[in-house]
Amino acid sequence: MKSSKKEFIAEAEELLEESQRLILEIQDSFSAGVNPDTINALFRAMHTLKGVSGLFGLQGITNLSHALETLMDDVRLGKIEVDGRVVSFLFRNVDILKDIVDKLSQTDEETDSSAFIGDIESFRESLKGGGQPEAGGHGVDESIMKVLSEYEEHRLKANVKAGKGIYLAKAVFPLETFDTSLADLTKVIKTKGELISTLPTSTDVPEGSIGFNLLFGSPASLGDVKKDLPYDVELLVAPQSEEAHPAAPPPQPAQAGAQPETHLKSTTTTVRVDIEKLDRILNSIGELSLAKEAIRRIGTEMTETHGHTSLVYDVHKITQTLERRLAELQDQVLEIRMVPIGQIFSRLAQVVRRYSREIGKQIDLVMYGEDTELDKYLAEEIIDPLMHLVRNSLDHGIEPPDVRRAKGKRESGTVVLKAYQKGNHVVIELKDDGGGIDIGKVRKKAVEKGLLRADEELTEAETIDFIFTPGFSTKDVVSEVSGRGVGMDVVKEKLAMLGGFAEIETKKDVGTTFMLTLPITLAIIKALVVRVGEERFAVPLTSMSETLIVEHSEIQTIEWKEVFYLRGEMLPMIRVNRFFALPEGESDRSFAVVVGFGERKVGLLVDELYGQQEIVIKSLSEYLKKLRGFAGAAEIGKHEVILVLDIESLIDESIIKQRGAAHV
Amino acid sequence: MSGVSEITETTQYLTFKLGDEVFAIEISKVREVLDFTTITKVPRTPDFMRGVINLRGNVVPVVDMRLKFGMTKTENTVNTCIIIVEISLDGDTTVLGALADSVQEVIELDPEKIEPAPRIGTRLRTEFIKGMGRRDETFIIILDIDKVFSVDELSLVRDAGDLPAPGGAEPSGA
Repeated sequence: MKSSKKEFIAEAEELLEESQRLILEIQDSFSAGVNPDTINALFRAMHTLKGVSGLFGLQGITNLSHALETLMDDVRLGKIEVDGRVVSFLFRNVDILKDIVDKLSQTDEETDSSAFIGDIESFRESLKGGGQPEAGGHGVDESIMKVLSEYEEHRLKANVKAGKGIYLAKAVFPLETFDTSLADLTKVIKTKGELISTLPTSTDVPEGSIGFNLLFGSPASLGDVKKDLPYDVELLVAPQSEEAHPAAPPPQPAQAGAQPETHLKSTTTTVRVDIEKLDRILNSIGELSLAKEAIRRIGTEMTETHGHTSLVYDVHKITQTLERRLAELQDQVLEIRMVPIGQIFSRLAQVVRRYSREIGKQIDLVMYGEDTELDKYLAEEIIDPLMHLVRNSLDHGIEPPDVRRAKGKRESGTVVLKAYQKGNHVVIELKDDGGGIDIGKVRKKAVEKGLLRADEELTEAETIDFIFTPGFSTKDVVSEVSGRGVGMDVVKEKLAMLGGFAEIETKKDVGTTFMLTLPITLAIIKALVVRVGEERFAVPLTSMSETLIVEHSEIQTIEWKEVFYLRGEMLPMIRVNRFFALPEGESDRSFAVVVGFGERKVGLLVDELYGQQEIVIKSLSEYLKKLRGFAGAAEIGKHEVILVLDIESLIDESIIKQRGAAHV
Repeated sequence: MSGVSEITETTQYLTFKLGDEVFAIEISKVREVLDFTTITKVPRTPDFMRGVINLRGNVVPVVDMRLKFGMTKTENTVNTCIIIVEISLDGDTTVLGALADSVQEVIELDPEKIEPAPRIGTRLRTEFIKGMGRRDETFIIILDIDKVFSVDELSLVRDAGDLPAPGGAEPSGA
């Protein structure tokens, strides 16, 4: 019972999330005409929810989703026209359903929903007839109309009303392959317009074949339509501006218009898998890779002792095959873990919608790059920091309407969520056209807090960075979100934990952009192995740009910072040995590994560079989680553990240390 | 319910030696015993944190029990081993390795054979000790392993990061 309940909750949550996404789509498009597929999908989502909740005896959810399904049925039949009221009503009710499901998952009790059902009923009644009356004289033969379902009839009329032509395509396919042929034909028709009905027929069809009459609407002329359809196409209603041809009586369909019943059986072929299970597979792949390395080593040793015998050759060959297959397997598992970022964007859209109403600001949310893919784990981990930033933009970024008016801006603020891939990283941008961050105030606060000397010169970017300092909350600057008790430092910490980083661009009265950069996947990364004293560390290649040889005499000290001039640019240096209190190197020349991006680019001084290696980063145990400077550990070679440097925290701490040194 | 042993009157313990002293850990806390292996040092941690090892794909920190209890550092001999224990930290289970000079045996002790920890005469903090068992003429110190690796040690790990890590500090000194 328990696990089946969990299954129900997971499925219900998915359906409701999907519903919210669909309603958003409807909201965005209702003024220009909603795609009927979207409305149908929402109708089906409610229908499915009704079905599964009924299966589990959850009467409240069943009744509520049934009422919404009926409402959606009226919408799709054109009895109710979609407007802003309908959209927000749908949003509200899906929220109610979500709350009920939430409560169910926590308390095992189903909330009484009867009060809401009455609301839906009266709302539906109040709107009925609101849809515009459909054109009576559509000119399609009665014998066709007779077999159409109510919905199909409505779509036909809607197409006629929109001035589109109505066509009937007759196709005959051999029985063995009719399903794929029909699917192909449907696809082509959908590029022309809207498929209204597919009716199987047996009239005039040779033995071993099956015929279909496909009724569709399209704005194109008969000639255009025929060009891509090598079938018998008949014009029933001419598109506006064209002469109508007399409609020929269609052959009698074999199966009279039974309304296609949406089935409880899911049409998708997806499987829901716990991410932990995928982690376990990745772990196994990691172990297999080690075993593969061992085989390779044995192969090499065999070559040395036995020479190039055919047995040795076989071992080498099989090692290569193993390596290729393992790489494939790894890629496939990583691919499974990828989800489109749109999933979290639509959740954020919910927050924006609800929260902007709460605080009385008008927000237009624009989203780009929803298809950008990101590791599921990362997507889930990044949503809270993003949520925080979004709320922050709404609270402190976007000004109240009257202030905006006074500034000569549009009254409604714009928040842009944008995602795109950049090399091995995904960048998520959150941009608002609000008041921007007051750098003067940040600076003042930093001086008050003793983080900065009053006479110290800092660049704008360095100053803004202070808002990521723990405890740096000024209600009138940014950072603290009402009642949540989380600051920007949490955002930064989370990003660092995920191997990413945050940047801010801000301009007074123009707005603020937060850019969060994340690795696409956490699981397996390439790393450079370096030596510092007697220790070896791994530096993730994703954060590295180049390596240099640096004579210690070339390192200069400027304002308590050790720097090296790299192609005319000042590059701060971090001596990794001093950072970790390890012995000084013996040579007066070191290797510098250049890591970080933009303003936060630094050189890590190490004693020696070994090679690159693929590593699987493992977390450093609960017991050591407070330790800074390490992203985790990885296994290399013969069961050896190597620590992986956390570049972001290294850069942070060395900046703090240098500031600290500056104060002494 | 499998895997969870019934709590009975008599409990099984794994005994191990640090120097000449015999210690015991409840067997239910012990996952396995490993031979000494290469330990990767973790900078900016107290001395008793010897580093981390790889245990079938998981990173496990290893604590030098001798250093932890104020003795000299554990030397690597043929008998040296790592006892992998499961401890609960803030309600979460964590796996740790405890470095011991040698592992002795698994024994059963009746509750009446166990006496409360003496208030004096031991260099260990009393809260680390569950009781004193006795077997023949030997005293066995039964450790409360959760307390030994308790949460304030965690902060010790963190604080050590800010300090230049003075050598040989009494870990329980604070």
